[in-house]
Amino acid sequence: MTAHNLALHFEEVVASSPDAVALYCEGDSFAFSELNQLANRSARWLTSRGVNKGAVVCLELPKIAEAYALAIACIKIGAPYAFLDPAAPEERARLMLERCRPALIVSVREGAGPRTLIGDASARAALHHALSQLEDDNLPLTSLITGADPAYVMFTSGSTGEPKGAVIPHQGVLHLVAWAKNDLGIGPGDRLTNVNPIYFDNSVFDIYAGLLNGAAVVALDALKGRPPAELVSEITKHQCTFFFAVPTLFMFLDSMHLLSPDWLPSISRFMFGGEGFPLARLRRFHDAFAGKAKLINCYGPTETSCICSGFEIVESVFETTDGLAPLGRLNPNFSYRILDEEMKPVPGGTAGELWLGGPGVGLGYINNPQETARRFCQDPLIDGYRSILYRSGDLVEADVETGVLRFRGRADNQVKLRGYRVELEEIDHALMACRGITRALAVVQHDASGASRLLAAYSGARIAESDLRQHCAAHLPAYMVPGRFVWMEDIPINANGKADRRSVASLLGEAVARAS
Amino acid sequence: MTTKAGPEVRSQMRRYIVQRLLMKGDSAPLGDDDLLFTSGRLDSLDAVELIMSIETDHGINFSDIGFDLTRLDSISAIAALVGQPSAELA
Repeated sequence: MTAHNLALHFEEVVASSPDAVALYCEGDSFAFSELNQLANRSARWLTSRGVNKGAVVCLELPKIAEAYALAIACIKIGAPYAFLDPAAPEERARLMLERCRPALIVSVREGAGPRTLIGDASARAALHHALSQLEDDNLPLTSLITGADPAYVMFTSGSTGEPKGAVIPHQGVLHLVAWAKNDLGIGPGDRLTNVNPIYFDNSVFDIYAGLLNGAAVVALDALKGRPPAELVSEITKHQCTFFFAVPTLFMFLDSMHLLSPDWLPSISRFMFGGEGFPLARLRRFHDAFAGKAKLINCYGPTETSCICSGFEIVESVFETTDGLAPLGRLNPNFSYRILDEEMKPVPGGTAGELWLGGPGVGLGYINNPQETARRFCQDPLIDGYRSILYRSGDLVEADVETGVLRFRGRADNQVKLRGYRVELEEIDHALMACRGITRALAVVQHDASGASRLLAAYSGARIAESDLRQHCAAHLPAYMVPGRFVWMEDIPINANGKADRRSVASLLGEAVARAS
Repeated sequence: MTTKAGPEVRSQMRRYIVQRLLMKGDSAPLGDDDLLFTSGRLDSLDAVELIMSIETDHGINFSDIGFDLTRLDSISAIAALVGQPSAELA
């Protein structure tokens, strides 16, 4: 690794393989040189719109070529970009935009703030006309960006009721790219799927582990409204070799008889992360591709540059009584501590909270010093100099001999649903904003096969379930809308006077079963 | 678990599915034999919800039907599955 920032690394790849395909998107393909030219023009366009180094650019865009080019343009001028879901409820989008305080928003929908709309063909054509007037060579100022400078902002659920935007430095992603090359063997000739939503942490891997290793990225629409067989056929038509998605998607494809070497013959590596993969389902996946493709379980909080460990699934994984595959050993350039509640290291082989360190640790949450101070903390075992660790909230246990980490739960109320991180408090807050509700608690119910769903209990006025669902859908993304709402006269409280989520979870389980 | 008669299950499932479709902005007509997952009208997120709701409400274990979602691919298919004695599921 010679380049000290993502953009210079990208330009090195462009120089060494200008004609190789970098991106397949919307039926078109872009060579590395073409994508670079588009990014260089976009960078000059951004500058002409007042975007300077350090300013935030919000990209509220679907997977169109401009989205990828603008992201690269941003890293070339040192303006961290934030991809936002163009279908997010307006209120949530407003909260994210307010935190970002963007110099510019490029969007497909109307809204407040300094905004350029490219929602229809004529607006896109106008942008392309403007771009065509600009120079397409690399920008001299790119070399001034350091590895410690911010590359992007990635939003994730927040326990205070609003999403938090983790700011990630170039160096974190450079290490991710190096790991993808050295440990996963990604290089020229590979084609990576970008099935993960572009505003979701996992797509950071798809884009940079692909492009910066000389591989092509294939932009694919998620399953919304689309026959799953069509998605799988498109992956195969593009001869994709690496497929990274959340376990929920792989389990869905398996349940639809689409997860087999017959349907996906070109894939040599599957990777999944973001949530646990129930072993009974993983076994079927493993057996279907035995000898044909590798399966890799990966782990990593958004705040530490996407992925910080990986574990190749082997036969012995199924001999454990854990129910989940190991998280693996931490990647090079990550340090860690496993601490108890008093911030003291736990004895080997016992569970504690994982604190992560190294250059992959994020720079905090954008314009949110309180949450930053809560999660990005001085290493409690070091007081002579600055050493910031990210407090993951994940309870893990490290194997004494191998250092392999195993997941043992959460220290707080964060849950994983379809790979998305969800702070249950964010749902509580959304429900309590509904008129008449005095208290609300969301809980997760698990079934025997490892699937999980959201339920909510509330007290106060009784409200029709369809109204509650509508209210939540207006405030929260679809994956955070509870499947059932149960009215309770009183929400149980614990000894501290706080609503008792555990008691509510068991009461809700009973109530839902009774109602059937 | 309560065993419900065929027509009741059918209308209950219809209500549930129509509501999920509406949440996604899909208000197109839905026939009892229209494909839900194969067509892409319902996705992986809906699958988890539907499976868990059927497991809770009708005592059907998804693993007992080999995690086969094509057996829940229409309102008619779900009604038929829910109406079967559990010994005959597989």
